[in-house]
Amino acid sequence: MMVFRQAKWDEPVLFELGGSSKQTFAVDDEFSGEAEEALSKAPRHVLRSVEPGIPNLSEVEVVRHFTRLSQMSYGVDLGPVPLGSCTMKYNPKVSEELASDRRIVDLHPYQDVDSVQGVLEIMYLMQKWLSEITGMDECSLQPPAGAAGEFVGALIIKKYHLDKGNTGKVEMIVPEAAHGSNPASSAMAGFKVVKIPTAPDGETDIEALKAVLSDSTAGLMLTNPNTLGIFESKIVEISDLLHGRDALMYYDGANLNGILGLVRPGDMGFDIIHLNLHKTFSAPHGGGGPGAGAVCVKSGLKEYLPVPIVDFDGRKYVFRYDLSRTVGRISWFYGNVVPIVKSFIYIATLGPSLREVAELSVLNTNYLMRKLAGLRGVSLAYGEGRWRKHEFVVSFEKLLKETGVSAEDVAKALLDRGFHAPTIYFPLIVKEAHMIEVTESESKENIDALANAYKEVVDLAYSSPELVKSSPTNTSVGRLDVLTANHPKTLAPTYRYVEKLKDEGP
Amino acid sequence: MRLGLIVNPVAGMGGSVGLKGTDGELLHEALRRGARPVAPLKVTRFLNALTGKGFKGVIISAGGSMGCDYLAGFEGVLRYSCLNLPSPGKTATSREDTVQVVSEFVRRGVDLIAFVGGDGTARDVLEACRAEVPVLGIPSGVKMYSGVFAASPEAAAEVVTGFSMGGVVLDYVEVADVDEARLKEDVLSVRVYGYALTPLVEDYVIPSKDFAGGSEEDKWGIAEYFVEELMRDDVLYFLGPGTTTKAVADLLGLKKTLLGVDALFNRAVVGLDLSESDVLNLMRGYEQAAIVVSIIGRQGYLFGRGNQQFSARVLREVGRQNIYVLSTASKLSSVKHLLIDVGDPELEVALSGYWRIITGYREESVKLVLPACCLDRYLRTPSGSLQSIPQS
Ligand SMILES: Cc1ncc(COP(=O)(O)O)c(C=O)c1O
Repeated sequence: MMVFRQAKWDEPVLFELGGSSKQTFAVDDEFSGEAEEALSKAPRHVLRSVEPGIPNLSEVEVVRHFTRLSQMSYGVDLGPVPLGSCTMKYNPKVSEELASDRRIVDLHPYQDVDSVQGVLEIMYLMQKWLSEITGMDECSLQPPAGAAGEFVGALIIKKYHLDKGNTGKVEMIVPEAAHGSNPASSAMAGFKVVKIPTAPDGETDIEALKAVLSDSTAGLMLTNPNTLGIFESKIVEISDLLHGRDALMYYDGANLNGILGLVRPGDMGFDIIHLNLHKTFSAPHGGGGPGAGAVCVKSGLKEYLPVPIVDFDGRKYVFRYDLSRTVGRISWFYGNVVPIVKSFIYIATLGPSLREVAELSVLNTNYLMRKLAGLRGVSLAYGEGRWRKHEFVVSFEKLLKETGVSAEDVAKALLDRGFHAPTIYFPLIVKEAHMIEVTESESKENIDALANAYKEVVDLAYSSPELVKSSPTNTSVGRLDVLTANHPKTLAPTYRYVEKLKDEGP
Repeated sequence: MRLGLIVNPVAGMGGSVGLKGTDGELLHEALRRGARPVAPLKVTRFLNALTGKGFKGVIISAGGSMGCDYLAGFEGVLRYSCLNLPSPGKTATSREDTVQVVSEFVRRGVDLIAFVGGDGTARDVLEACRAEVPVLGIPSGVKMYSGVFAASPEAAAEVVTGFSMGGVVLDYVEVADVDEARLKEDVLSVRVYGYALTPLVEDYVIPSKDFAGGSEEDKWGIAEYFVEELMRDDVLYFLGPGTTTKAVADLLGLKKTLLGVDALFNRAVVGLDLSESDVLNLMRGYEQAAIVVSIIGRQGYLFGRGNQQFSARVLREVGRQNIYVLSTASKLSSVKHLLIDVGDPELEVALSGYWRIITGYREESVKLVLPACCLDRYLRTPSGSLQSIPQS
């Protein structure tokens, strides 16, 4: 078996690297006169009196710094990242290469539309393709992320009801297994959030739904297959129930890997959907962003979309801002164009084979699920005996009880074996959970290796639990104290903040 | 199989008269306040359910009001024998009697001891059996923080039958009780007194109370939502025990007893630490009344544990639509469903179904509420009979 070892550099942050000044304003002798003259003409107030507080390094120092950091990190280019709900698939290099073309990266948002017809055509086609894939009628590519798309969706639902004079539509129903951004976006849009439970078969408890449906219901946010990877078989009945109350159906389409080309949210009765292009459509994410979260609607809601959307007037592509009921802008300019281009390439290269993405993901998921569900101390939460779609959730509750080894310990031990740990402790309805998703990218060999790593860890938990609990040891950074690691006093997003913390003292 | 059965005849009497227990001198106070025995009814329910299940074992029971009285007056068919303990002719029973009887059960080698009582009784039973013989509580106390109790007398019968057929897992669970001295200062302090061996059947045997509540912040969010959007003028509100309901009073700047039932009207206190009859009397003076309660973490009780003042009669008068349930999300997620155990099966069934629980600021979660009397109608039974779908 391959041994996994990560580099351990004692690498300081960039600002604390180096010492002597290696940077200067170097001007050839022959131009020194001009330079001095230019400087003397500059207004006094724009000249600095102190050096800028940026790192003072040579090129080679910068390159080495980042190379070392890259050796201490992990991503899909290094090994499997089976994070459930995150759809960490491989990002093909051809998309990276084409999207890095100067004709894309050097575009300026204020350029005349006549000079950017190519990229507008890409955006126009993406709006069409995503509509086709989801069974919707129109899309806007404005949202820069999934949660932003959800927020747009919630705003559309709100405005739709207000336009009809329904001021009493104040409740959004969300399954308790939903991603945390669902209740959060609903609350931000001003809704009261009503959470409904999951039935033992892993589907939304439809009796609970019926019990809370009322004239106050504005909408339901659902993802199908849900976060347990289980397909909601009563989805059409659910849609009818909601529509019967004049409430709208929102689909959290962050992850379409389970249904791509097989079934469409629009056909299930959903009215609005957001998509994470950085998941299903292979734009990179997880520190590699930025993301893109298209939002698509049925024709009756088209006028509510965020603007601009791209249209074709028969001669050329144009931006349209004149949607009569638009909820406005959710982002700067036209959304994040680069990931849109990457996703365009992903879809274009796959063509009709897009369906195989879902078929392979589902096959991979169930293959791995069967291997893990048979391990000692491991059980499948909900929906015993049912097949999963793009992901599945196992529980280590029994293992914890019998050995003292928790889901978190298992996750840390997987890191030692060269695997990024799956999502843990989510969904909240499953105790000691691992939510696992291998996507279409992983080979059978890799899935077998992951299953073996799990088996090894679980066996070790029964023979020498302390060894599991002291993991990871092969990684650049050992076991962290979760509390301090997540504390604002230690989690510094900028160097300015680091300095502020230093000033404040411990 | 030989089942030892012992009853604490006074257990639970303090509940409806607003006492936090019936141990020691509290019994006299309970009697003074006009409390009625609750244990006899629980024993009868247990025996009925046991016959219904076709229990084949032999019952060895304490004498008189500690067991055999109920068996002698029982109409069904059960094989039993009586101990000559406590000594016949004794009028009042004591904890020493419990210890003596249980020691005798152990000496005679019973397979399982079932007792009718609460946390105080559980402590006495544990003292005598020293966790050598498995025990199961038939809930009849005011406080039931320990993990040895079945959900209801009927659930206890299920567990006993399951146990007699083999295949029920035994495990050590906490026997806990409140510190009575600190309780007088209105401080809730629960101590673990030991560990008893108990047959564990998920959903039928209730785990010990989860002593950690949710975060303070959640409670404020819940209280703010309730006060700002749900509380109305000219309605009499009864706040049940607990820190979550106390947050409501705190937010309004009002006094609230931590473990008692208190009443508010138009943002002023109109009653503190009320008994069941106080609640009924007070209600007569107001047009509309509402109840605000929290749940007991991990055990999942909505009514019937620690808030017996909200009796079946009170609940019938107030009506389901006027009951608000508050719980932090973490507490709610510690239970699969909620339970009502008010000694009135018909009402328990009527109140069961999906309830909205207030879990945060403008946030509610739906939870299934089940009647403790009749779990087998809704859940898979330990002896494996089929599950039916709950009706809402
Ligand atoms: C199911 C689900 N919905 C929504 C989101 C939010 O997407 P984003 O992180 O792009 O805002 C995620 C992301 O993890 C998700 O998994």
